[in-house]
Amino acid sequence: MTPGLHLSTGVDAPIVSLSGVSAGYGDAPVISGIDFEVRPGEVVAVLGANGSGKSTLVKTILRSTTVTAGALELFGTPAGEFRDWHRVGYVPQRLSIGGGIPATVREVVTTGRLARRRWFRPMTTADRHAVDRAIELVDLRDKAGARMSTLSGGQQRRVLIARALAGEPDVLVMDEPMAGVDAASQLLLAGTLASLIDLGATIVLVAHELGPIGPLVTRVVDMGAGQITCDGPIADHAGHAPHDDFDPHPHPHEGDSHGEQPRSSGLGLLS
Amino acid sequence: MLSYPFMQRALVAAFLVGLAAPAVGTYLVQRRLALIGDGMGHIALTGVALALLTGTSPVPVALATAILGAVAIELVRWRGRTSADLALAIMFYGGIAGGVVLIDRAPGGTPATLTKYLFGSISTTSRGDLAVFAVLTVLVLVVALGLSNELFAISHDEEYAAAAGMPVLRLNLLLAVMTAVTVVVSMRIVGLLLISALMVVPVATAQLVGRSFRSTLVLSMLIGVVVSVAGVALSFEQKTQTGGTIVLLAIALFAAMVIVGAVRRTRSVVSP
Repeated sequence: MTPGLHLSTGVDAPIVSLSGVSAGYGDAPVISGIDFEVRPGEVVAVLGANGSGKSTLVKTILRSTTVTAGALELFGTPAGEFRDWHRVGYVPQRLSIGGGIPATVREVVTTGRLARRRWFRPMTTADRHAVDRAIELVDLRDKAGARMSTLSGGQQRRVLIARALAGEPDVLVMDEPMAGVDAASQLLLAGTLASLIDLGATIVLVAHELGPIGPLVTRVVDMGAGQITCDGPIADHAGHAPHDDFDPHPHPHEGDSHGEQPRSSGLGLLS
Repeated sequence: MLSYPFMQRALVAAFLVGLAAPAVGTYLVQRRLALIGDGMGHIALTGVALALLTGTSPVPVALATAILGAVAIELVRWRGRTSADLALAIMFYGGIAGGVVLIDRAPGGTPATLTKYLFGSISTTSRGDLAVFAVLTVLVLVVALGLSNELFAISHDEEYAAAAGMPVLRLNLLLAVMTAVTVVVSMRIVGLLLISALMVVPVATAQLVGRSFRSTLVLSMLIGVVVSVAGVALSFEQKTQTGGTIVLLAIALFAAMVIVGAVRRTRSVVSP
């Protein structure tokens, strides 16, 4: 923990904390007895094969599963009492296109701001600024007015990240950010994530394999058969050492998880 | 045409339903619920029949029935995942079957009465109906335009909206009630079986040219007003059935836009 965090949040609590959690869909738990914590400033990759429970773990954080045992806390508050959902920025795996009515990048990103707004209030300057800033952060300013359907897969993924950023979250929860994106777009996406991490983002992401985001990750959690099989710093993780591949990050990142630099918190990534 | 008071009322009612139906329909289409208005029309028919049977005014009873039906539909959709489809089908057909049986039993209930409510008629809008329709249309538009960001969010990506902490169920219920209200506003002019077309076809046309969700929404309302008002006028001139005329006009406009779009694309390919 960094000293700065005590000052900025006033709470000495992990962002996400699961203890002894079993959860799934309906009656049958997919994950069981999970102990898992995410602290501010960490970039945690949850890895595993299909059916290992990695997506269920992340969906549990977003409370879209049924928790049958254990305790889930967000920012030190039991999930059942947690109301500040805007602090959790969710980036789903793919864009929902709905019924096919055209929507612009800006319209989609604006929906990321709504959890903070009250009904029937017009957008404030702060709202508009947050949306602009989120679009800038993912480098899509020249596409703000473009229809979503005209964007490439990688660009659409960046819109989903911007939508999460528009709510000025304290943690980004990403489901397979690299899946189905071509190699060139993966590098661009990794660059986007690297700049967010530089701004102090805390990220939990689910992945099949790390690819170009490997160098950005500070901790790897392996899952298999609904259990955590391994949880440790990226350097300990066989096969995912951060030395090879392209490094999209301007600075080496291995030391950061232990916090020489205070991570921004409270106002989130855009402050 | 405008010298007849019934035509004045019919044109105003057409204007109101032309505005409201696509405003709600845009969200329904985006949510892939294009046919839900049809089901609510079925349910509203039972309300109309109850009113005729008890000798009360059809509009308020149909409104109450449709709103109850809408809330029930939304709760069924929200709770059930696998059986929801069947539950909805049973409610819809129960609605229309109940309506047909009850209207038949009602004093003065003839096939002509049924046809008027199912497919609309220019001669039936009363002064009182018009006042109720105006209030209901204003309410629908205040919500459809005032909460356009919220309703867009749940229609576009419900999973994300829920994860972001938005009151998804409340917004879904609100949209369902707006749909029910719009169905009732339509029952004099377009008819309970054709209202869904006026919720969907102008939206299908608008999305061919719309650049954003908002521009599609506004354009679909404009198209809705034009085809409704023109349809009422045409059905008066040509002595055709009102609801059917409006919907055929809407479909003709859609077809024209598709053809224009196709011709344009071909031209831009041939002469770059």
